[in-house]
Amino acid sequence: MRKVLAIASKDLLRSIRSLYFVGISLLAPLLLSFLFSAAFGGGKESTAISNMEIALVNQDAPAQGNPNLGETVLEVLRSDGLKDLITVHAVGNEEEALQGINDQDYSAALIIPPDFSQVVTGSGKTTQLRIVYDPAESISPHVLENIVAAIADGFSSSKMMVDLAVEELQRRGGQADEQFYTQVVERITAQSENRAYATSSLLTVLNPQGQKGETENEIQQIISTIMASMMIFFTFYTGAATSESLLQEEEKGTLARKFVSPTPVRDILAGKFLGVLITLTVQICVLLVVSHLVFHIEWGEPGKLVLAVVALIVSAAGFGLLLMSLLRDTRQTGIIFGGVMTITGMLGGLFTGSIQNMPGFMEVLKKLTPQGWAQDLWQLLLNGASYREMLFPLAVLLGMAVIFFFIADFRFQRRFARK
Amino acid sequence: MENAVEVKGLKKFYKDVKAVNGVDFSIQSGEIFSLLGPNGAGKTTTINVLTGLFPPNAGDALIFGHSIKKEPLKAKALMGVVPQEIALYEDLSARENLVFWGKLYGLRGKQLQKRVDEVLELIGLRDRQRQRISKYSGGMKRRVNIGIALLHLPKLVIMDEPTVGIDPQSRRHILDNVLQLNKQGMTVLYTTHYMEEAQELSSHIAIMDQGRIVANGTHAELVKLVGEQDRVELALSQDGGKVLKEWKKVKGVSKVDQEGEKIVLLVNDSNAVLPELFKIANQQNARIASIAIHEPNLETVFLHLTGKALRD
Ligand SMILES: Nc1ncnc2c1ncn2[C@@H]1O[C@H](COP(=O)(O)OP(=O)(O)O)[C@@H](O)[C@H]1O
Ligand SMILES: [Mg+2]
Repeated sequence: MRKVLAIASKDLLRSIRSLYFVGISLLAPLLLSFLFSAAFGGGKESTAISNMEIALVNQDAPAQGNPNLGETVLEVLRSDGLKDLITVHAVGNEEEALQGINDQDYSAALIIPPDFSQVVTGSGKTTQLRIVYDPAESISPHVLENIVAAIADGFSSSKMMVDLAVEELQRRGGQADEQFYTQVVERITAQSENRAYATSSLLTVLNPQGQKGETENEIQQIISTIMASMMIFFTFYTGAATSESLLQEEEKGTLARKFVSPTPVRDILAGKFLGVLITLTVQICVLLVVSHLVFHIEWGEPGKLVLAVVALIVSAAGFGLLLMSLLRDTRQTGIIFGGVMTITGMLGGLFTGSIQNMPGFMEVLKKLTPQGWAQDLWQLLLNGASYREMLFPLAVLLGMAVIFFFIADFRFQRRFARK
Repeated sequence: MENAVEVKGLKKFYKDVKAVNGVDFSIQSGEIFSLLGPNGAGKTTTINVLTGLFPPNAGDALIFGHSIKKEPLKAKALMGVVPQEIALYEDLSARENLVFWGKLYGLRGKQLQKRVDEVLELIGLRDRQRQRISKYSGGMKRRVNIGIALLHLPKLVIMDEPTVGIDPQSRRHILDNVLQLNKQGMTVLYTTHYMEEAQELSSHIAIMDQGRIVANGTHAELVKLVGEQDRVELALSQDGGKVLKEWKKVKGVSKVDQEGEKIVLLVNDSNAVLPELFKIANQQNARIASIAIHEPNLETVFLHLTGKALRD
């Protein structure tokens, strides 16, 4: 077992050191995913409206014991839904804010008046939120205006409801006491924050391509599907490439050298096979993490993700080893990389994954390739399918992997035992 | 004393080539044994079979009594093998290579690191141990190739043409290593097509050609096969018909031939005979323009046994 591990870890070290691994196994899928998804309408953020610097002057002075609704506005503006869009700086007074705009530190300022809380929760009077902006700025003030308008709408309708409720209470002979106002304020606060999290309506207005908020999700889905397909394609590719080391070592004489060491053929093959598995594991883990960080892809529940990863690794490794066991020498591997990987990948739907309603015979061909099943499995994972739904493609992939390994092992054993 | 290697009736055929066609020899423990033969003689095939790379069509080889067919792992553990073609990982450093191969020979931990250090010292590559093999010269690669076989301190080291295609300095280094290892008690099986190497290194030499051992013995025994006569080649400054006649009468000269410009003599002991030959030439007023003395060697033996030159 120790020798098996020695062989496998040596292979991993060699893989990682090779330019091929970094270029083809890691960079290519990420780069291609990026290019493809750019073609589908671009990355998540739009640079024109990203990260405006906004000053906020909160002069709000609520009645004793009541929460500060100006603070609530600040929290809303700083909420997750808006954080990619604006960065809010709380500043002490209006002069400071104006100075900041002059110095181009901020592109606009929002001023919350002292009677803001009182007006929203009290009755009668009106007040105004003011936006001050740099006239040279064309987009940012407009964006801020929209956001603030949406928030103000929320407060206005809250205020209307409060006024109504107070009137109703008085009509029935009741009296609105302090506790009543406290409850009202708490509800408004909670509601505003909820609205902020569901900011898709705000973003709708702002998207320069005029797309709806839903599209953001769709783009995200497309990127995820493409990334999954690219990852599957290049995992199978790397599976074949690392398996090729068996043929390379045979030609370089290092395999023969292993055979004359006191190591059983079985252990040597196990080490080589394990080396392929470990290399693919490293590849997939890097791709999953990087794609999560760069493309914000959510790969799904950890338990299901692990199953999908395992199925992908073993089927890709088995397929690569099987292909290499069919070849005589490395001069024949060109056909594997140039032809077989591309064709099976194509049949497996890796380049057409997002197209629905493929012709029937294509669906059948897809089911003949391990890539097709891997594609199905990963799509299910991305769609948040249940374990039960994932079970079938998972079982098929693992079954295929077992058969691949069995044949590859048989062929290599025979090849190296006789000779 | 137990034999380190015993090869019996070994045969290995490729499709239409009888690469090894019935080979027998044995190597005593502690000696350097050379397998000498031209390219294609079957040396590498013999080594491959007796190191267990592939099974023979017939016969067997015993390594310190362990059959390579029946107890391959036991036999393999006793051998260090230096393959003819350099078999290293070019993308790993010398040290990484040695550590990996050491593990395959069952070394680990401190013992492994210690042996790697010692071997790097022995092959003179300590300073460059962290450099990748791909940056090494041919001679340095050869030395690492050998070092791997020494890691587990095998009782038997098998080297298949370890000096082919390298600079004289590296070659000298390797030959000295072999002699040093042997002094420390390692048995060495050394194949070569350089008769000088076989002559310098080994106590016993087997001469191989076309899949068979054509002669086997100590250097002296082999030379006796062609008679122990020196061959003297010389040229006279003028026609010397009379001189040749006188030389034939000298005691110890068995043959005098005119071969074109050259005169060839076979003599028992050139040191004893030459003064007499010079004296006769002087008496006849003939001047010897050039002279070369060839003591009998393995080259001559090979020529005698196979009718062809050792080197192509
Ligand atoms: N793998 C092989 N397949 C077919 N013939 C081979 C193979 N290896 C060696 N031979 C042939 O066997 C003979 C012996 O080769 P080899 O053992 O390499 O000789 P040497 O090592 O003495 O140069 C040669 O005629 C060579 O062509
Ligand atoms: Mg050879």
